[in-house]
Order: sequence, then C-alpha cells, then structure tokens
Amino acid sequence: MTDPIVVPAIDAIPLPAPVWLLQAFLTLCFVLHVVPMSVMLGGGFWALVAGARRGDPAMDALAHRLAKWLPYWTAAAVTTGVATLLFLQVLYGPVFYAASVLMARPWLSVVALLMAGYYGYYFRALRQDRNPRAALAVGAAAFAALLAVSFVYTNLMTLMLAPARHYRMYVADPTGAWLNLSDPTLLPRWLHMVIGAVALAGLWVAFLGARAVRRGEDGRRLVSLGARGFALATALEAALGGWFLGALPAPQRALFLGGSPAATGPLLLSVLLTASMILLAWRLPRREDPLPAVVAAAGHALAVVLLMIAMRAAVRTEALRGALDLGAMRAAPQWGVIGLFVALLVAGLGTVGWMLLQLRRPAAAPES
Amino acid sequence: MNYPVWQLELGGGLLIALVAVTHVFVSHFAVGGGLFLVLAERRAYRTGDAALLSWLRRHAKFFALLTLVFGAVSGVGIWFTIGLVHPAATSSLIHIFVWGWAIEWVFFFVEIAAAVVYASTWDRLDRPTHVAVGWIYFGAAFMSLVIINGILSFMFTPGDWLDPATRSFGHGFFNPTYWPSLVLRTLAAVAFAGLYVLATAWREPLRERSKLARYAALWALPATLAGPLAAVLYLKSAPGALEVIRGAVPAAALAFRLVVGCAVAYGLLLAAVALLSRRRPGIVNLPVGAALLLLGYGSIGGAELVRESIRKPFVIGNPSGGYLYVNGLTPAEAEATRASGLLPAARWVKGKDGAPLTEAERGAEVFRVACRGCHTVGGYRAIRRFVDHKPVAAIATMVGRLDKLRGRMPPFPGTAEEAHDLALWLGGLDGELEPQEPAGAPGAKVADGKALLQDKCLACHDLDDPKGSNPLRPKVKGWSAAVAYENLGKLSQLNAGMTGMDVTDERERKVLAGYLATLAAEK
Ligand code: HEC
Ligand code: HEC
Repeated sequence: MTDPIVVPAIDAIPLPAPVWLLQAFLTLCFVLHVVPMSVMLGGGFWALVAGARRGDPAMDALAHRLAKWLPYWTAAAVTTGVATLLFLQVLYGPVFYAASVLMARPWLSVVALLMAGYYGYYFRALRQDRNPRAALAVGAAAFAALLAVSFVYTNLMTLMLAPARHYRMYVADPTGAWLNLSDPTLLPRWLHMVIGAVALAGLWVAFLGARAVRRGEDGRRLVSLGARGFALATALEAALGGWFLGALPAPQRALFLGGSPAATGPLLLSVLLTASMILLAWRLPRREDPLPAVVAAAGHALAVVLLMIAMRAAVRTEALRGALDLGAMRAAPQWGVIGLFVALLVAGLGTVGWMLLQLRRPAAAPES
Repeated sequence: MNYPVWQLELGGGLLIALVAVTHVFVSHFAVGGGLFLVLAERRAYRTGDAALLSWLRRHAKFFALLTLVFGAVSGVGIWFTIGLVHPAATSSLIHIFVWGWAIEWVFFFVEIAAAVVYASTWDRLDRPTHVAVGWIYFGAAFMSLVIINGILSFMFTPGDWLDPATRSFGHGFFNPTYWPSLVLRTLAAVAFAGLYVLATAWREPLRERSKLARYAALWALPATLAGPLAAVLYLKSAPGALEVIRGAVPAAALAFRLVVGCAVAYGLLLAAVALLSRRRPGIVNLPVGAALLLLGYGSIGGAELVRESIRKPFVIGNPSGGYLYVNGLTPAEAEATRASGLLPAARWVKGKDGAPLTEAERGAEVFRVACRGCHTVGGYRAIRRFVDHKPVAAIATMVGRLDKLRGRMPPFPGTAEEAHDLALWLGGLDGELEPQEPAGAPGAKVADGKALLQDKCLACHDLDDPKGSNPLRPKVKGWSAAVAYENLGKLSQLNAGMTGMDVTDERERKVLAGYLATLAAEK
C-alpha cells in the first residue's frame, strides 16, 4: 500500500485574472489584514492587563481607551480578512477546500467564536463605566474566543500545506473533526503569531502613552509598559522563530539556511531588524519625547511583518511543490471588471477618507 | 468527486439553510434600514421633532450593533458553510465572480466605515454632514445588494453563461432572474426597515409609540403589497419554479406557503397596530414587536428556503439545465463517469491507496460521492427511509432511474456495476439483504389507489412514458381487478426485477388492484 497524494484538480473555469495579479492582491490584503488582526488580538491582552489593575488611574484610562477602540480594530480585521480569504481561495482552492473539509467543525466554529469575541469587545466598550467587573470578565471571554479563532486559523493554514497527509486523514475520519495537532510546526507557528500580536499591540500602548506625554499628561508609565512589553515579546518571538525553523520539514528549512536567497535574505534581515528593534524599544521609555522612537519601532515592526510574509510565501511554495502548480492554471482575465473594481476601490477609499476628514474637523457648534 | 465530501448527519443542505436563514434576517434590514434612518433623520430635522430624533439615535445604535457584527459575520458564515458543503460550486463561483466579490467588498468596506461613523457622530458632525454619511451608508449597502444579487441569481438561472460560446462575467451576472430578484430583494429590504422599527419602538414613551407604529406601517405595507407582483415576475423568468412551488417539490411548496402566510399575517397585524395605537399606544409593546419580527422572519426565511430548493438537482442551475449538480459533478462529467466509472474518477474515496474493497465497500464509496450531497444515512433526508426493507434488486432498479423518482435527483453518475454495488450496500443497511417482510414501510397506511401506485410501483415504473424505462400501462393492459389482485400477490414470479415486491397486505392489494383495473381500462 502506498500513501497517495490526493489533491483536487484545478478548477475547469479559468482564473479571472493572471496569477501574478491575484498573488499581488492576496499579499496586499494579507498585509492590510495582519496589522489590525494583531492589534485586535494583542490589544485584547493588553486591555486585560490594564483592566486587572483597577484603581490605578493610568491603567484605568488605558483600559478605557483600548476598550473603546478594539471593536473598530476588529471591524478592520474582519473586513480585510474577508478580502484575503477571497484571494486565497481563488488561488489555493484545491488545498484550501480539502483542508477545511477535514477540519470542518472547528473551521465553522470560527464564525460563532468570532461573533462572540466581536460582541464581547463591544460589550466592554459600551458597559465598562456602568459595570467594570462584568466588562472585564466579558473582555476576557472575548479575548479567549479570538485566541481560539487564531488557533483554528493556524491549524488550517498549516494543514493546507501538508496535502500528503490529507487523504489518510480523510479516510480515517470524514466527519470534519480534525485539527492539525500532529504537525510539529503548529505550536511554534501559532505562538509566533500570538506573541507577535501581543508585541504589535504593545506598540499601540506605547503610542498612546507617548501621545499623552506630548500633551503634557502622565503617559510615562504607559510608554514603559508598552515598550518593554513590546521588547520582551519580540525577544520571545526570536526564540519562537528558532523553534519554528527547527520544526520545519527539512526541504523547507533548507531554504532558510542558504537554500534560497528569497528565503535566507529575509530571514537574516529580519533577525537584524529584530535585534535593533529590541534595543530601540528597551531604551525608548527614557527618552524626552518617546513618540518618534515609537513610530520608528513601528516602522521596523512593519518591515519585519513584510519579511515574515515573504518567508511564509517561500514555505508555502515549497510545501505545495508537486501538489499544486499555480503555473498550470489557465487565466482568462476579466480586464473590464478588474478596471471597474480598481476605479470603485479608489472611489471607495476616497469616500472613507472624506468621512474621516469630517471627523477631524472641529466639533460643530450645537445647533439651535 | 473532486473534493472530499464532508460527512455530516445533520445534512449539508439543512446546515446551509440554517445559516443562510439567520443571515438573511439581518442582511435586508441592513440595506432598507439605512434608507429609513436618513429619511427619518431628515424628517426629524425638518419638523423639529426632538423625540423622533432621540429615538433615531437609539435605533441607529441598535442598527449598527446588529448589522456590523451579526450581519457581517453571519455573511462570512454562509461563505464558510457553502465552501464546506459545496466546495466545487464555491470554487466555480469564485472563479467566475472573484471581481464581483471584490467590488462587493469595496461597498462592504465603505458600508462598515459609514455605519461606524454614522452611529457615533450625532453630536460631532453638523447635520448636513451627518445626513450625508447616512446617504453614503445607504448607497454602499444598496450597491452591495446590487452586486451580491447578481451572484445569487446566477446560481439559479445561469442563463447564457451556460453556453461556452456566450460564457462571460456579464452574461452570468445579468442573468434572467437578475432584475426581478433585485426588485424582490429591494422590496424586502424596505419592508424590513419598517418591521424593525418595532424592535426598538416599544421602549419609547407611550405618546411616541403610535407615530412610530404608523411609520413602520408606511414602510412595510406598500412594499409588502408590491411583493406579489415582483414575485410573479420572478417566477415567470425562473424555469420550472412555478411547478415547484405548486407542489412538484413538497418542501418548496411548503416553504412558499410559509412566505405568503407570514407576509399576510404580519401585514394584517401591522395595519391593525398602526390603526389601533392612536387610541391605545400601549399595544406597541415587546410581544407585538417580537411577533411582527418573527412573522417577517418567517416570510423571508421561507423565501430563502424556496430559493435553496428550486435549484435541484443542480447547485448552479435549475430543473431545466445547469452547470453543476448537487453532487459536485457537471452534466458532462456525470456522462463520462456513467460510461467509465465513478470510483476511478473520484479522488476522495477509499481504495486509492491500492487497498482492495469489497463490493459493499465500493457501494458505500459510491454513496459518499453520488448521494451524500443530499442524503445522509440515518439523519436528515435519511436514505434508510427509502431503502430499508427493500431487496437489493428493487434498490438497484431505483438507483438506475433516480432522475425519474421523486426528489429531483440527478441521474445516477456511475456504471451498472457501481449501481449494483451501491444497491448491495444500501440493501444491507437494515441488516437484511433479502428482507422476509414484503416491501413497503411496516404499517403503511392504505391510502387511495393513486398514492399506493406511487409508493409501490412508480419507483421502478413510469406510467406511460414511451421513452422512459419500464412503462407500466402497457404491462397491465387488459387486466381486470381480479387478474390484478392475483398478479399483485406474485409480482416476484412475473419478473425477477420485482423480487420481494409482492403486495401481501390484503387491503392494499384490493385497493391497488381496483385502481390498476381502471388504469388498464383508460384509453
Ligand atoms: C439533488 C439532491 C439528491 C441527490 C444527489 C440524491 N437524492 Fe435521492 N432524493 C432526493 C430528494 C429531495 C428525495 C425525496 C425526498 C422526500 O420525498 O422526502 C429523494 C428520494 C430518494 C429515494 C426515494 C424515491 C422515491 O420515489 O421513493 C431514493 C431511493 C433515493 N433518493 C436514492 C438516492 C441515491 C441512491 C442517490 C445517490 C446515487 C441519491 N438519491 C441522490 C434528493 C437527492
Ligand atoms: C423494484 C422495482 C419494481 C417495482 C417496485 C415494481 N416493478 Fe414491475 N417490473 C420491474 C422490472 C425491472 C420489470 C421488468 C421490466 C422489463 O424487463 O421490461 C417489471 C415488470 C413488470 C410487469 C411485467 C411483468 C412481465 O410479465 O414480465 C408488470 C405487470 C409489472 N412490473 C407490474 C408492477 C406493478 C403493478 C407494480 C406495483 C405494485 C410494480 N410492477 C412494481 C420492477 C419493479
């Protein structure tokens, strides 16, 4: 008996755009998704940290601010996530659908968990003044729900990359109850993502503090909480990254150890950036005006996120080699519709920009 | 066949219906409610109605919390669900309409931003700007309906897209039911904007409630009254839909009655509330509001169920033709697998690793690929209901003519040998391949002769259809009731294809014999 690699055939209907364009949109959407998603998840963590120290005015204020903004970050994460998933499915449909059917139950539970987390965040934002204790408890539950969502996502994203195991799993249990627990990369990859989110959201805390400092308010403690938290989480990230690298199957690991410049380069660069980012963040609280350093650290972090996405893509390409060949997909580009989309996208961004501008105008005098 | 089939005893179709019905409850309100909010806001400014304005703020907050979270996330839920239950169809739709969805996404994104801004800036923005944000919200929400409607109506009437010569985004999008379906959905959106007024009106002071009830009626009633007209247009452009709701598919007919019944009921109730509340504003209360919403929900949920069931045997298509059967095969693929075998072509079945399978095990795999799309073994639409206590030969005959049985099934997509394997497996589900009990559910009711004929004979016979396999009328030609009575007791001796089909219940045998004799005498 051999273990057959069973992968669904590429759809008979041609792609509605060239592969490179779909890849470009997939990457763009993913970048736009990763940031709010991380802030949403990691912010939930920091809101709990702040909320747990009730009575401390600085922490109360922080909890208040984070709670107010988390639903909006969630909206951004969901909106950009939908677009990412769309492009992911059109390109990687065969392995995506196969893996999601294997873990249908956990995957579908994402919908309920996300709704619980989202409403939980709203509940805290609306009720924290009236009922801080309940707000804290619900906030904790919401954070747990979103954490579970992230765990299911990592399961699917790793299972997708292991098509050689799909058939055996399916034959053994077709009821959609699988996770990808036996995959050695699962845990490091998930923790890498979660700790990364905590780090990024730590920068948000530092940013809030730095702005307060600028306004002459007492923001020092927030700056140091956020920046030190960021630095520690980032140091932990580096360790997790090593674990992740070690857990990769040999052919994928080899890419990062000189096998492919497109993987080794980003890895080296991100290690360097990480080191400088940690130093920058650790010393940041001592600055007179911490805001520029916070922004610089955020710039570093964004660069590292981009490098991570490049490395992620290298892993994906290698893992799917022989199973899914994007080059073999036919395309019949719908240029007219694509053009319409781009035009509407510009108009849509303009409209949202206009609304945000209205918000920045000084508040209108109350009308009679 | 191409993708693994999720084995779910709840039934994939039922799961989709459940998720879709929850989403649709909010999604139309998300559109119509936007229009309602701006128009009511303008009116409140014009008339200087402060009480109305303060209710609107609360209503807008409720609106935002419901549509931003529940509406958006349950919409994602539908997408997750169809990807799991019908991966082949989802993949096809995404390949055809990715840019349609991308455009819808632009509107979705503007809609979300506008809803957040609108609900939270009553004090921060000046009035014209706030109203403008409301218009932006409504424009974006309506446009996302305009887009998604193209994709949803395509699933039912792919129209010219089916023909490879005219296959294009535009033909798929502006398909035969695009416009009537857009009108219907728009009317539903407006009606729901009215009904949802009652979701928050009961918390207002008594003196405000009558006015709000009249608003609700003003919005919901005309749109509801116009509904039948649009429905007629829709059904006219939808092949086979009329027969379906007239009873060809019992579940759809029932769902259609639910639509009509609930719409009439909420219409009458709302009219009564609007009229009576002038005298007795107290009737605008929570139970009445809940009842109205529930009835509205019944009607729109029923419409969703109709939409889900009229496409059969296709997921993309309708009874008169389609692109993809519910089992994930295209008609061309089904044609090919009928000739050269389903299991060799299927990917996610046992035996691909070279493990030898018995006949019955092969049959189980055929069931997974060909039937699981609509049937479960013992859960929703259980196959056991149809095959238990039937002998293998009888089941094999039924499998061979699935597309002629009740249920609008696709033709069996496998070879004769696979049909036999499937029948063998199905026949063994009840633990007896050759049941000693005669066919027919135990204790079957003695209905009229026509129903008995349907139950006992038409699974394997057509009545007349000269082209269809196995027409019955010529076979019973010249039978008197006595001859029929005699023969019904020994069908298995008449032909081996009817092994186990003898009618032994005395009353059934008599009624059916009488009916057969009248059939034999006709024409
Ligand atoms: C498109 C969905 C669909 C598919 C695919 C499908 N069925 Fe059905 N089937 C139905 C429906 C609907 C009914 C009617 C159920 C009812 O009346 O309650 C039905 C009824 C039946 C009946 C009873 C028919 C009668 O007239 O008594 C049998 C037997 C049956 N199916 C067998 C199968 C087998 C075997 C397969 C796979 C080869 C299959 N079906 C595939 C939808 C489907
Ligand atoms: C399980 C499937 C099945 C059912 C149910 C069934 N039949 Fe048949 N019947 C057959 C097959 C197969 C033949 C053979 C057709 C042929 O070879 O042309 C047949 C043949 C016949 C014939 C011709 C027999 C001959 O002389 O060769 C008669 C009469 C007949 N059926 C009557 C009935 C009646 C009446 C009923 C309902 C009580 C019924 N059948 C139910 C499968 C069925």
